[in-house]
Amino acid sequence: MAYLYIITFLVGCISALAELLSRYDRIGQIFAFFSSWIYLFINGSAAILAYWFISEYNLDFGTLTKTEIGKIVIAGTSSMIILRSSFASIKNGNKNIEAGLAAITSVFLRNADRVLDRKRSIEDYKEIEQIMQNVAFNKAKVDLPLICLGMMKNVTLEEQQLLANDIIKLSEKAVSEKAKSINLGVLVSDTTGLKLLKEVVSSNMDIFSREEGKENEKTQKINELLNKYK
Amino acid sequence: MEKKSSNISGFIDGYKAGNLSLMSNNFYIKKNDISFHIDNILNNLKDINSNEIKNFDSEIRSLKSSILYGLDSFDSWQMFGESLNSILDSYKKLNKKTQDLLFPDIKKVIYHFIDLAKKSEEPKLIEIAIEVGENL
Repeated sequence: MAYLYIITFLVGCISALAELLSRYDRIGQIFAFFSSWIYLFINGSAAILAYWFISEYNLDFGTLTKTEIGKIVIAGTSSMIILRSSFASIKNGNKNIEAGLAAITSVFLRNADRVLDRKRSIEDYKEIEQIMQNVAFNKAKVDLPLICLGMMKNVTLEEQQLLANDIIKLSEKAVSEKAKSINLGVLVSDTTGLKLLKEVVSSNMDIFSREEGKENEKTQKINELLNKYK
Repeated sequence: MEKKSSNISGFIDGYKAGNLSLMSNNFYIKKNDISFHIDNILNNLKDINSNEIKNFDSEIRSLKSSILYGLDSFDSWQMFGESLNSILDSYKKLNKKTQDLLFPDIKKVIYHFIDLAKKSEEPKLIEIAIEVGENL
């Protein structure tokens, strides 16, 4: 019977892993953090507890609990529900404090989030800064995401619109050209990943290249005409 | 298995809509500026009694109505640019004296149109603005 508990533990861990994967896109990094392991362990343990309750008290969830596999599936997936539960919501000033298991699990999730965010931001900054160092924001702000999105098959229309809105907001900001270019790289790579961004930028530097002192021919023409008719 | 194909229309639509809302204030300002100078041109034309200006006058009036009833999208500004271009062709056919009289306002209309095109960063509108600017 011990093997059933081991399987239940693993199912609980897998359902927790699915949640971590939905939050972070890099599986290797998830296992690099102690908080992630603790989170997986807590989920696995909760699944064992749920399995024990179902078996010990013969809890009936329909035909699914008639078989051991059904019990394991319910226990493994319901551990997420138990761990997300809170029996009270205490208001403290402007904050709502959740009382229950959700409060404990959220500590580990938040910690994993923060550690991953810090680590990822350092690694990503180095790479994006290198990819985007010679990219002119104004030349790339439409073409770069368009080429990248054209290569992707699963980006929803809503995600594309959000990306477009973020780029427009970025172009409005009174920040340096370099900061805009790096942020453009961050926005695009959030959707497409760094590898595709790097590939598209390096293959199209003739379009995106920032040539210091040289204005785009049309911009130059427009400026001349504005001076002529001023 | 369902075959998925890439579709970039979400980005294009989102970008166009965002850019349009960003430009709406500029559209309003430029519409007013251009309208002011078109009114000046029409007032100046009133004082001229010549058959020569009849066509030009009606073209300017139709340009004025396009300002009153539109110019809230990039497409309408592109059409405005094309009309302005054809008006400049008619302007060049007027006699020297009439041309000189109208020139300050014509110049300002062109200026505001080019300025708007520059701010919009819309390639097609910029292309038309360059054509308009080089027409005179």
